[in-house]
Amino acid sequence: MMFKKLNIKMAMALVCGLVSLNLYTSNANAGEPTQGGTVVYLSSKIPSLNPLHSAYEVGLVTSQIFASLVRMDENNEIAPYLAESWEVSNAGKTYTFNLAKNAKFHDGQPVTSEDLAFSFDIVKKHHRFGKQMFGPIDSYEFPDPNTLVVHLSKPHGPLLLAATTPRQLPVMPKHVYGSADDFMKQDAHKNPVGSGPFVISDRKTDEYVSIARNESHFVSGLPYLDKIIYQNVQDKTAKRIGLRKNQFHLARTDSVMRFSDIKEFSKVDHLELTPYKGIAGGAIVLEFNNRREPLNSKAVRQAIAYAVNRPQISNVLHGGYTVPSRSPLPATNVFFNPKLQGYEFDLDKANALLDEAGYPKKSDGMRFELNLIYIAQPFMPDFNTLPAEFLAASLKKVGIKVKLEPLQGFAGWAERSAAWDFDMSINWPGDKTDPAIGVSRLYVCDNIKNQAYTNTSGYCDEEVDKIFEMAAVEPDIEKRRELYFKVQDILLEEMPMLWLFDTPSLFFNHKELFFPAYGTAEAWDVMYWKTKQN
Amino acid sequence: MIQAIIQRILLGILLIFGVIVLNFFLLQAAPGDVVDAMLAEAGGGDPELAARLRQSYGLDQPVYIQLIKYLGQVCIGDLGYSFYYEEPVAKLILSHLPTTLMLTLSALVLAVILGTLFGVYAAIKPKGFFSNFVTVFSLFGYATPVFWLGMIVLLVFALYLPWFPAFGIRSIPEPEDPLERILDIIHHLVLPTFTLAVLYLANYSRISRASMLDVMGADYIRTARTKGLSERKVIFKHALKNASLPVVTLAGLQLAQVFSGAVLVETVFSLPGVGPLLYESIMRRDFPVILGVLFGAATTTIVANIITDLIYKWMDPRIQSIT
Repeated sequence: MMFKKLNIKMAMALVCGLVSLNLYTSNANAGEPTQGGTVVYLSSKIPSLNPLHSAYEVGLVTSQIFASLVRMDENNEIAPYLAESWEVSNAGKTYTFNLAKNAKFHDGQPVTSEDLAFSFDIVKKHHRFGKQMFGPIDSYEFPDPNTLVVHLSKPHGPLLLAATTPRQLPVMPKHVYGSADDFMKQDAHKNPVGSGPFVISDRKTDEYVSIARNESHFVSGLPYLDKIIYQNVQDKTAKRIGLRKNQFHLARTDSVMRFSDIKEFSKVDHLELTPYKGIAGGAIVLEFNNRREPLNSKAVRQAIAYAVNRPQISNVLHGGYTVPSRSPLPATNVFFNPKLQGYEFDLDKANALLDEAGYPKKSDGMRFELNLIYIAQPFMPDFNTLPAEFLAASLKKVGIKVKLEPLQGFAGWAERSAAWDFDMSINWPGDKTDPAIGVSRLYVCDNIKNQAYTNTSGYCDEEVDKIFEMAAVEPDIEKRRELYFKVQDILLEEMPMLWLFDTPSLFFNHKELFFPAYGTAEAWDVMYWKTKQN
Repeated sequence: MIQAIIQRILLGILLIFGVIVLNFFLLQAAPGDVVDAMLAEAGGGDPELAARLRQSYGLDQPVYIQLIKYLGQVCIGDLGYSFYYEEPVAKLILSHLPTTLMLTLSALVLAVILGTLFGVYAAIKPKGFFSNFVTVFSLFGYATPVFWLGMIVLLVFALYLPWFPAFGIRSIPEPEDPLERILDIIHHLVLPTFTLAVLYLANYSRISRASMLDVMGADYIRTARTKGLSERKVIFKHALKNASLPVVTLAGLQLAQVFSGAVLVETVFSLPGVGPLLYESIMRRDFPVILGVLFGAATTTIVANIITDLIYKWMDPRIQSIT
């Protein structure tokens, strides 16, 4: 204990030293939070302010307007937010949440257990993953305005993780949102009322959204910033000019540039590259249509995995900004097994497997032909066109001819994917924080549906189903981990799809700006300027 | 005459409905729908939810029922509801229209005036330096892809010589003073207007040069000169009036396009106009918005055509297109 205290003091002294040094170098690294200032975020279009809207950028705004039940702290552990404390009982079937007593909505009304139950119900019904996140919620009890008892029909592992972000559980005032017949079409989405750290101050469709500090936020001292402006810019040249000229203080790299340009921009004096270190991740995968010959053969799928030099995609084509996937779970996932290494690059093995499987090379050196669907340029070529062309070249070397079929936009790709009309497809399923929400959906038999991002590969295995089911209802995190480790082993062996590379989110932020890149990367109430801004 | 105009208008309304029906069926041919696009963008979703969304958007019904419903709506002035923007389409388009009109109209006016002047002066000395310059400049303007020109203009006048803003229609926060606010918007519009005007200008200068050269050789010009009129009067009063008919035709055609905007220019300069709205809606398969913008564009085209006809008649009484 004594030592620990001393260390903190020493650390403090060091920090102070650095700060005072900074007065001369004007390049702060460890600055204390300062109050105030404005951050301009380089945004895409923000079509609506409906907290359940499908667009990524909408969630960036509504995550500041609404508060969630709990949140992730900087160590990626679940921490209190609207819920001061909570208790799990009855073998994981009952959750009791105690809400912060001073929590108020922006219109001054207190946040009550009624509002929380209302929000659970709305999310369950209208959110894209509502059923997976909160489906087992059965009934509520309201012992007092600040306490909500939630009864589940069965234990549900992902419940708390799902409640860590306002993207997934925005707590909404029932007296505002409860009156409309259709939740998705109502005027409240123009002027949202939440209990989060910021309030809407101004908005012009397709131009900008500006939000201002909520002066009576229930977490004292937060937020640090006075204002955040989400400025919509469409053109990449204009985005780059703005970023270089310090007109934006924060931007996702993938909205501005390709991986190959990041290095060049890292040299800009005032910019800093910050990788997101949170719990929600994703990977680009090469999905196989497991129903079709020859992809219904495990050996063929494995052979393809051996034939693709994935480190080359990540390290050369992506300049080292992506990571070759090692497991069906992205390495950022809480349940990822760090011992797994994935398939190495081995052309001999690939050729041998294909020969054995009964697909010898014909006179033209080819074994068979497969088509590959993906979203055409200009949509994120680093994740679509580039790997597609690389895959075609790689597979040609082992005698598999690939017919490239670029499709127009999400809708064009989603239609083919939903119709199961492909041999191979480049897909980008996120893990949505918990494997029970974002991963099992790609593999379990009862989710083989005519809809993109379900189990469109048609893979089906009873044991895998059973393990996913057990893991979803297991409240104990260690036991869940064991189960997910097991399922990762099985899937790696079966190779229903090839996990190409994990797609980390990278941000450019101003060097003087502390950007909280943990949790779900949207805790912008703790974002601050290290030096006082005017 | 009035009867003829009414006839034209009635015909126009019929035509607009024809355009709507055609567009409606064309859109059905596009792969995927708005629910596909929305769920795919969000990284997936529940098939039951997708079914419910399709139901609430009316996408689960047969195409002809959707079409009849839509036509009925349009008759009472309702252009539907945007699935993506979660707003009534008419309101959405109206909020994007001012930017587009400001841009396209000012570029058009600039191009018509400058282009005609270029053409006139080039025609005075058809072999002179200025004439050659106009020819080369027109070729350049005509052949340059407008997004490329936009990018170059951005790099030069927003980055290397930071005189103008690189994006948007206004500063944030906006200036308090109304006059400054107008100046701020003008400041933001200079580069896009210039870019678009160069594109238009090429057409006008070429056409007015050619048509002036045509007219300058005519008998009545010689007559005017022999009357002892000043060269200035001959050119501007006698020659230009007749030579400008092709210019009016072209301007009429382009006036029809002002509504749908200049997608590329508006996108390059991140202006919140109708063009990017249309583009975005096509990518998201947000059919009501696409149909709404196309409806507006069709209406403008037809109205512009009627107006052009009237101007024709005023400028050249020999033309009997209306009556």
